[in-house]
Amino acid sequence: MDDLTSEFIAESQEGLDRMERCLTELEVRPDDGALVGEIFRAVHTIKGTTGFLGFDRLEKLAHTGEHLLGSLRDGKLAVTSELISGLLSLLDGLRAILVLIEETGGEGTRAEDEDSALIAELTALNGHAPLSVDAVDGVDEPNTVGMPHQEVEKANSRAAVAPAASAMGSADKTLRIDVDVLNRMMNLVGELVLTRNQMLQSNMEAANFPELARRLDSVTADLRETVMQARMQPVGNLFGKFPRLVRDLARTCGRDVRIEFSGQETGLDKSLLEAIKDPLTHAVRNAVDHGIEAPHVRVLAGKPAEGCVRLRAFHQSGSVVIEVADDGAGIGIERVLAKAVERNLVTAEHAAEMSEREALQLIFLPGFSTAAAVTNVSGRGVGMDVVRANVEKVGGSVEIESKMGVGTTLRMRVPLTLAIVPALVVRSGGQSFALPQTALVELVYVPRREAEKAVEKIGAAALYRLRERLLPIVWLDRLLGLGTQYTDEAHGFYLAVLEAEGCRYGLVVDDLLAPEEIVVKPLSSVLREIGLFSGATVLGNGALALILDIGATAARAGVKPMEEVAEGVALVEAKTEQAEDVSFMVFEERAKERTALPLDVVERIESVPLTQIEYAGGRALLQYRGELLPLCDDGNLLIEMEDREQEESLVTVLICAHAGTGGRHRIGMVVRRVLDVSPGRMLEEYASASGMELALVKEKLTMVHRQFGAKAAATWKEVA
Amino acid sequence: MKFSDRDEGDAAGALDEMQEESDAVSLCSLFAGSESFGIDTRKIREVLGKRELQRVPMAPAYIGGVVPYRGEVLTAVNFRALLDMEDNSAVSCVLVLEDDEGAERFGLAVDEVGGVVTVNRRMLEENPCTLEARGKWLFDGAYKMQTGLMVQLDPKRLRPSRLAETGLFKQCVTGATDASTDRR
Repeated sequence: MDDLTSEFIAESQEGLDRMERCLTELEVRPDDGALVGEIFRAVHTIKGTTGFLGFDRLEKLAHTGEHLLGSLRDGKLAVTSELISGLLSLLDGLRAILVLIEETGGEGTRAEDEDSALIAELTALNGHAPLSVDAVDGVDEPNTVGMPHQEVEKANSRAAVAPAASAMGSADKTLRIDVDVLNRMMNLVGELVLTRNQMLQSNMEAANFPELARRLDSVTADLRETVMQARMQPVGNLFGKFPRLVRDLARTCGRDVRIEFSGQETGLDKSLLEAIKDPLTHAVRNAVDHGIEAPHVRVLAGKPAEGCVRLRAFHQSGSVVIEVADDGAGIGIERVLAKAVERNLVTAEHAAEMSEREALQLIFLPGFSTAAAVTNVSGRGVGMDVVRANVEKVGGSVEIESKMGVGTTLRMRVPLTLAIVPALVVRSGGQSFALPQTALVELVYVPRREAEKAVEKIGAAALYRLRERLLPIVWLDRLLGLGTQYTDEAHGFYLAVLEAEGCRYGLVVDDLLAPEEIVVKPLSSVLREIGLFSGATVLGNGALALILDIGATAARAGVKPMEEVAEGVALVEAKTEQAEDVSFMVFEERAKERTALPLDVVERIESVPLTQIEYAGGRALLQYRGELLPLCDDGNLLIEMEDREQEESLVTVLICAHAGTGGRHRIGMVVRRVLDVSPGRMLEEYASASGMELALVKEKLTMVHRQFGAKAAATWKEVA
Repeated sequence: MKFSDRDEGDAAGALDEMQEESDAVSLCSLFAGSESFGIDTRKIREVLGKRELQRVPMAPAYIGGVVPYRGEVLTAVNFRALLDMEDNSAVSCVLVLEDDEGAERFGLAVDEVGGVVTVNRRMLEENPCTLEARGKWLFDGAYKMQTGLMVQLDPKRLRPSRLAETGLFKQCVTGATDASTDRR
């Protein structure tokens, strides 16, 4: 195929895409002359060019269409549902020929490549007799005059084939790029070459080498960003085909459905756009066929007869979320469970104790469909599992929410791009692993001497108390069957708090290496089957690291989504707020007395060797991070310890932010031992003169240092 | 490996001294333990030499690990593991293989790679019937060399995905012991 033809095909397909959008809009706004003009132009352009290129069949069809559209434009015809259907068949006809030309180079001369029926139909719509007698050969006369229903059905079924075929065509292999972006890319490549030349000429020791390395870094970053930008496509391109799809589907299923969009301008990598096309189509089909009820059912339920499918795209924390929401009947949990048991996907006992959320996830299992009747459109038991598999293949996730009688929302979360993700590189069992930053919530370092105490156990399950919430912890090296390495005595372990698919857990790793932007490389199928790694990457030092699939790791370790737990905590938090409680750090200063500080004034707890504490003018001082901290020693601990002459003994010092008259500065508070952190209540009526106040912490009498207490209360109230 | 019929076919080899050009095949010799093997050089894309493999936890035992190769991450098959030999901790030699369709590139980790030898295709001896199932899968006959037999390997059958399909090889043995020996 020559360049001219392929260019013509690409252009025509764009024109037809535009026409498709306009047509569905035209049905909603029949009086919009601009839309008719747009459609007319698309068909006219095709007709003009085909004549020039010598595609007679295409020209003939386009000519008939143009003729019809001309009448419409001149106001001789009114926009009816039949007319729109006819024009859509025209669109499909044109598309089918274009596909044929693209595949074979010719427009086809075989018997089935005959458009006379379609031409006759269009002519009939135009209110004239067929153009010529032979054009209607083989078509029943009554059918051409009335609306030939089968004809439309046939056209519709053809429509299902045509876009699928064209999907493989030039439209997806080519990409239109802004010339500016291309120029910028070229400039950057030039810059890259220049930097390389300079690097080759200088050597590692050269004075300007660090500068060159920096420049290389910035050029690479710019180039990457530009290339990504070029690959970004608005999601609207994908949404564009749905009005037609929904329209056709709604007719087949006897529904009344409107489609709404928002966030069409959200950019997404082209390859990702391709990857989610099928899952999204499936989700929309599901929404129309399964979700939205028949009009009379809707009216009975007190809803407008016309159902609504909303497509929404937006950015959320480094990924793009695409939602398909319908206002239909929702998914019945009982039906889902009954079906799952019937299909032997779960056991009856297991089903009985499932939470609502878990039950909903069952629809993603292979071989699951709740459609009462198998229809042409959906309900053959293949579907949601494919949707999930396709989305997960590109590193995304799918979740579903549903309320009986209110509707269902399917949410697909896909990364902005496949190629590069920010990640934290960790070491465990002597190997490097990359954890995607998107799943990383926080990092906790557990020092060696606290390691024993920090890990608590219920049966065999290990837990870590993170701000009074129990977090299940998973040892990465044990999970992967790696040999545990002996770490340094002084070295504790790191807890990476991860969250994926509603699961929150702590992953124990030996060491943290640098956070890096890693380039994701796919793994071979054998390694993908392990299910724990989503890819591999080459690190800055040239070594390979496997990228851990956070969700799959959670599943392997048996971590369950903890919706109920989260709710419980929220409840506790709400309760504390109501009682106007403050969190206190409780410690022992003087023997047998419990003393406390509001938790938010304590910045750190340090263990300092006694020898590091210095004295000046009778006051104890500590050099702490280049700052001189006055030490507050109410319990006379320092003297006590000095007396015992234990040189190597450690003093526990609380580093507190002290809001004194001269602004904010820190002091250190020497304590015997730290006891607990828990919420408590100030007892205002017992305010004493000694700079201390009383409070009830865990129903035990505790003294609170006043200046902190007052200050904290004030700030706390501000926050509240 | 027992080649009970190693003396068979000597006479046949002596018969056609005059070999046709088209029958000549060049094999790259490689070694695992004390045995020598050969792979058609046309199917070898590159010999990477000694490389340290990045182990993949939970992978089937016959997967030696992954190795970076020209912007790709190649899965390397541990040939010693396929032969049920114990893993030697030394760094192994990695070859990059590609089958005819070029569908899947993968690495093969062996003890050592030797030189290229040219043999006559017609001199190939069939696998002995006494060979166990795994051997039958892996080996593609043998050539009689002066130093002993050189067993021919077919890269198509060494492909990680094919190995997984056959189910002849242990699926998931990368336990704690296996991995720790490697890392001492």
